Amino acid sequence: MTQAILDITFILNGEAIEATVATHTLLIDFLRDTRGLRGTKRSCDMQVCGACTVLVDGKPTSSCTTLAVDIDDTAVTTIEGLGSADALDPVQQAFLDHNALQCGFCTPGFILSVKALLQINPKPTRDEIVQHLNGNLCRCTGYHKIIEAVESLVP
Amino acid sequence: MFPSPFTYHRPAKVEDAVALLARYGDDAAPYAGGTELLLAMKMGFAQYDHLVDLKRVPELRVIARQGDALSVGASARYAEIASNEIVSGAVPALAKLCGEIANPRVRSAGTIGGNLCFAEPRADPPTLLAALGAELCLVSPRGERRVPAGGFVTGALETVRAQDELLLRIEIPLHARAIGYERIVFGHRTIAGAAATVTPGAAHVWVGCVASCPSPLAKTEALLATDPDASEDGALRKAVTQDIAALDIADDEDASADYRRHLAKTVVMRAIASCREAVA
Repeated sequence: MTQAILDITFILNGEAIEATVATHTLLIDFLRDTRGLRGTKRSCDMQVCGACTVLVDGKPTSSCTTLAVDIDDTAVTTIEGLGSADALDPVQQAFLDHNALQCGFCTPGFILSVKALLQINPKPTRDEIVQHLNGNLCRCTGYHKIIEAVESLVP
Repeated sequence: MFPSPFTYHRPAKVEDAVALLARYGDDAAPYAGGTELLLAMKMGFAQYDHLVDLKRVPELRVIARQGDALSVGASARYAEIASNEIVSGAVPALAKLCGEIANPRVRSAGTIGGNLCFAEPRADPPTLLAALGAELCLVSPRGERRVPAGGFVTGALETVRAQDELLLRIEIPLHARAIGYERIVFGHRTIAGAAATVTPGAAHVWVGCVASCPSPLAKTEALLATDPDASEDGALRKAVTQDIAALDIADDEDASADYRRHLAKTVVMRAIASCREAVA
């Protein structure tokens, strides 16, 4: 296989998708510009801040530093794939209940990171929550409310 | 920031990947996690006409015991190494380190082989693997060869890997060796890391993330080989201080050279202490 463009098939928020992408297209641009999913945010552009986090086969992934061709044969979840305005995902509801957001720019990335954490570790300790979220930056909340929101989800 | 256009290759077998690297030479780069390569391409520091994606070559992701060694495929991701029971049983220090590198997104994508081949001076694994006596297996059209991990990285972003060579796997000998690995992290980067393994008659003490590549501490190793229980306050501190003073450490944006020497000494003493605890 030798391509400057490539046909890919994948699952996006539960829907089977076929697309043709230029091989140098970044996943974040494909999601935001081609698919119109603007909940995925670009900020640091170097895998430090976590604003562009999506889940690829359940794993937290920096869409700013992933090629669109890399999601071929995978399942991708963006923030738009969680809950609905009437029935929020439990993680979204917990962030709302604990005032764990202010400007909201970092929130989609935080919520997807927390989804990934609870998937592999349903009962994280406070230290494990802090350690897991060290790759998500928030410049508003001071993190305490976010950590409290996650702790409220631990049975 | 966007990488410039390139032709994308997705080989399914090692031999196909090797053939592609041989055909395109300097115009091609092996591509795995992309945690370093894509950043360099986005920032314009690197440009390639061809990327050879190694993620779909199953052989490169295998983690297994092979006789007296642990074999870790070059494309094994940090998160896979951290959660692998064979690794945590055989070389717990490697599993622990791979579970702490950077953040969960880098750990889901980044590979141990990419880390070694990119040779970022602040990378942790080269130091640990050097002290463990690991060997790296490389293949090219000229055949396979093995290189000691301690001699693989030769400078900042420089290794002995030829442009057409592919890192296949890392082999770590499993002779019972307690090892301590300690690091000091500033922001999201390690600014000093050290690995120490001490048995009667043989000691391996390496420091990394302070100079352009990991370095063995010869006087410290010689002292510990003859006196494994050397007191921290006497001859040992003196040997570590002399070894660190001999390293070529420069000022950079994270720390002055003097401060970094101080951190290097501190982290080496911690690694020796942690190795002694592991033995006890």
